[in-house]
Parts: sequence; structure tokens; C-alpha cells
Amino acid sequence: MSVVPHLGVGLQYNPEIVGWFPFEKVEVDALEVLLDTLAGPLDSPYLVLPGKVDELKRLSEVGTLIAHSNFGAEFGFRPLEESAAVRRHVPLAHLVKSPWVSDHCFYGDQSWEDIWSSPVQFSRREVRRLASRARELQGLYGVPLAHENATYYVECPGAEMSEAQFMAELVEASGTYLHLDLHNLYTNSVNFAQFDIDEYLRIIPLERVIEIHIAGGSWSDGLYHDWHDGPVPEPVWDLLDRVLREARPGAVILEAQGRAHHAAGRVLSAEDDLGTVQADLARAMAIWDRAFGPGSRRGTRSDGC
Amino acid sequence: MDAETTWNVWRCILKDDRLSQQVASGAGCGADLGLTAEEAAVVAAYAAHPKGSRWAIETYRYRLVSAALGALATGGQLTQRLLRSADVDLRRLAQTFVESRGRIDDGPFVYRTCSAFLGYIRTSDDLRHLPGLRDIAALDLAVTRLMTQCAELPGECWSTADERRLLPTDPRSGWYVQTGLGIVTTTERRLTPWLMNAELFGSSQPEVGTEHLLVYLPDLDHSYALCLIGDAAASLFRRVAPPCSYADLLNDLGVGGQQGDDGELGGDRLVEALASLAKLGVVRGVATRSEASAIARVREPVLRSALAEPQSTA
Repeated sequence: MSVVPHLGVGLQYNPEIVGWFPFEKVEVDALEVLLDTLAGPLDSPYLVLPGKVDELKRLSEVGTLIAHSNFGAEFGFRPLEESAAVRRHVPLAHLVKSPWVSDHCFYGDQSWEDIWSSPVQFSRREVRRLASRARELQGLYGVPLAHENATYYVECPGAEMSEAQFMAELVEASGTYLHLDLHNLYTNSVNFAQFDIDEYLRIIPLERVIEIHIAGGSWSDGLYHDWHDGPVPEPVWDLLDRVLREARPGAVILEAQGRAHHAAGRVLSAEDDLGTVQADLARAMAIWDRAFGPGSRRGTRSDGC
Repeated sequence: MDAETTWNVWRCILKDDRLSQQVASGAGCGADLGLTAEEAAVVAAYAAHPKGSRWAIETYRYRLVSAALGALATGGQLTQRLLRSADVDLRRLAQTFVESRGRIDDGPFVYRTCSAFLGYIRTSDDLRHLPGLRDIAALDLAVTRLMTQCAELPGECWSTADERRLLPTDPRSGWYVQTGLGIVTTTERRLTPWLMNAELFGSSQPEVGTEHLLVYLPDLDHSYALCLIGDAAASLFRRVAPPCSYADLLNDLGVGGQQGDDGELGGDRLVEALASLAKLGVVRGVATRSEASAIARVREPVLRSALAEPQSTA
């Protein structure tokens, strides 16, 4: 398996803000591309949607492209080869020359929208089943595959262990990696009294964290929501500072999205949010530089690699 | 608790009003809904967390409506444009569509959702008054049918090599067959003025009159294209769904006879029409019947679906 490059700080290339965010001018070390927004539908002949190859070429001049999968559905119960991950994401990740790929620990099959409410069951049997699929999928990608910890409103019934134990056992059994979403950790800790971030970070193997997500969210109806529609909250900055002292990820990626999950989410705009996104990126870069040195990012290294 | 069973029950909760209400109220155990004891235990487990479950259900349903709108934007762009020009509340329309089909989640099968949504729009009483909607939606349906049938085609069908788009050396002894890369749809009203000028969409009822529109996919780097063709070309295209020899085409279609020309001139016009369709990649001409049959076999599932569905908006 290839070595994970130490890239730096980047931004998710999210279709919700593409209309107004100046992606092709932003100074970042990497851009995270969502494979599902590039891939042709499974009932179409397109591997990649028309026009997307040129778009990717332009984006690759901004920074290294990192492939991220939301709807790969590799952890469902249908044969792995039927999944969007295998049929679309694997060849697309090769196309963008992604140094690694990350996915989510959700159930899915020939469906999409149920994925977000379907965190996998934290059981021993599922560790074994998912590890087998993850190992096979990582082999197909040919680069490290990292699993992102989820935020959820309700855990899948039947758990036999904590989420942190599950993630640790999964990557141990599969030889895959972790994508640590700090805002998801924070959200779960706010919404579930028993969710302990300190314990979580003690249990997971931080040396296997190859990507980190940061984001903001909103309160509604007494719950905190991972809607990526606000500035990164202070506790998440503290977590980033802390994790970067112990882990050496390939990239820290900021997510900004808006009203994708619920009508109560906020729609982002250039007027209200451009400055916030830029400030969050600058702060993430400062934290990265403090952890690894001012010339440690792709954009600040003398060799530019 | 078995993980697969748990997930399947959860997906039922997401879709079903009675189950979701039981869970969201915190009182649910799936009673009177025909669930097994194991399934009822899953419902009870979610009902123990009513607030979180309710938010998850709401999120699923909101996203499902967004997905329907995304599907319409993907395969039904002309219909979407017409509805927008008429100030139709698309989100509300998508919501009623999603609920009408039991909140099915087609996921990555986007054209499946699009096709169902277009069918819903086309038969909606509330939208019946919109000028041109029935024909425009039918044209978009042809697009979705083309996409889904092309999804079944093997990779070699996408070769844009010139020799695949030329007629055989002696076109008059050749065999001809559809490639699967095109569909002809016939409209009851003339849509071309709208198609050539988007600002006309919805401005008035399109003129009554038949038009044959060839919807085809030139290659995998581009979206679909439309081409207005005449009656003879439409008949010719449909005739070569199964492999057909040049001689049979000339005999069946009587191209020359229809025009009152002699056989030689009719033959020239037939060759010209075949060459045009071949150049677009929607028909292939080959030297032998066996070659043509091999092409037809490759797209056999495509052929079956094309023959099973009406090719006219009438």
C-alpha cells in the first residue's frame, strides 16, 4: 500500500457552494472531491458525468485531489461488486489519482438517502463482515481506504461495543485506516450524554488517522446538527490542536455545505459565508503549521510536493 | 439483534407512516402491522429514542424530495424548464410524487427516479393545463429510456472509430441494424421552435403537428443530442431494430416509390439516409447478416425494452 503524503489543509469541493465559492482561486493544499457528484448514475452509461473530466483538470491545478465517498454503499448486504463504490468510485479514484480514499460507516445498497440515518451496528459480527469488505475494497482502490466516523441521531440497535472500539477493531482486522471527523465527534458528544470524546480518542489508533474533517453546525429543536452550515466551533478547534499533536494525517479538510439534510439548515452565501470559510481555512493552516512546522504543507514546502 | 434485519426494519420505518408515527411517538412496537417478534423488537428499540428517530426520519424524507428534484434536473431538464417557466412549486410537486410512490429510494439509479417522476408529471391533473407539457415530458422520457438502455451496452459500442460509422463498401449488398445508441420519439405537437429558443418555453401551446425527434448519445464525453428527422428516416430507423438487408429495406419502405422516383434514385436516397444515421452512430451497416445479428444480440436487452415500450407520445 502506498505511503500517505503529508499534504496539509484543504477544502471540500461541495456542489452546494460551487456557485459562489471561488474554488479555482482559493489557496489550499488539497481539495476533497465527492465521488458521487462526479460519477454517472448506475443506470446510465457514464462512468464520469460529461464535463467533469475538464472540471477535475482545472481543480487539480489548485491542489491535490482527494477522493471522498458518501454513497458507495460498500457496507451494505448486497455483493460488494454491485456497489457504487466498486462500479464507479474505484475507477474514478484512479482517474483523479487520489492518494487515498475515505468513506462512511453507513449501511446502503441500491439506495442513498437512507444512508445518513443508518450507522452500522457496533457488533462483533459486523466487525468481521465489514472488515472483509473493507479489505477487498482497499485492494481494488490500490491506495489506503479510511473509514469516517459518523454522526447520527440514533444508534443502530444491537451494539455490543462503543463506536470507538468498533472503529479500532475494524481497522485492525481489515488493515484499513481512519478518517476522523472532529465535528461528528463533537456533535455526538453534545447530543448523547454517554458519548465521551476523551475515551474515544484514547481507544482509536491515532496513528491510523490519515484524514481529518472539520466543520460547523447548527442547533434546532434542542439538538445540535452536523449541517456544515456555520463556522467551526471552538471545541472542534481545540480537538484539532490536540489530535495533531498525536496523529500525522495526510490532510485536514474543511467542510462547508448548507441546506442539504433538512429544511431547517441554513443556505450559505458569498455575502454571509465567504469570509467565514476563508477564516476557518486560515485558522486550520495555522494549527497545522504549529503542529508540523511552517514549511510542512504542500503549498508552503520549498519543493511544492 | 441481527444487523441486516435491523437495517431492513429501519428502512420500513423511514418509509411507512404508521411505523414512523409509532416510533416518533415513543409508543411503537409494531403491533398490528404484521411484524415478527424480532422485527417488533427493532421497532421498539428505535421507539426508545423517539426524538432522534424522528429527526432521522425527517432528514430521510427531506433528502428524498431533494433527490427527486436532482433526478429531474439530470434527465428531465426540458420538463423542469417548462415547469419553472410556469412558476410551478417544484419542491411541493416532488414531495407529492415521492409520497405517491411510497417514498422509494432509487439511490444511484437516478434515471429510474427521473422516469417515474416524468410519468407522474405527465399524468398529473394539476399540470394538465400547461401547454406542451405532455410532449415535452414524453421527449424527456425518451432521454431517460435512452440512458437506461445505453447503460446495458458493452464498452465496444462506444467506439467512435470512423469505420464503425461508415457504410459497407457496397452499401446495396449490406445489412443494417440499430446500435442502441438512439431512440426516435414522435410528438403530437411541434416542439422544435421551443427546442431552438428556450425563451419560448411555456409561452403558448405548441402548434399541432407530428415531429420525429431522434434522441442519441454521440459518445461518453457528451450529453445526449436531438435531431429532427423526416417520416421516411423515422420509418427506416424503426425498420432496422432487427437486422435488415438493403434489399428488404428498399422493398419495405419503398423510398423511391413514395417519391415517385425511379428505383435508382430511391436507392440513392436510401443509401444517403442510412449513411446519415450511421454517421450519428445509431445504425450500423455491415457486410453480412451474421455480423448484423451479432450487433443485435449485444443489445438484445435494449431491443426488448425498446420493443416493449411505446415509441410515440400518442
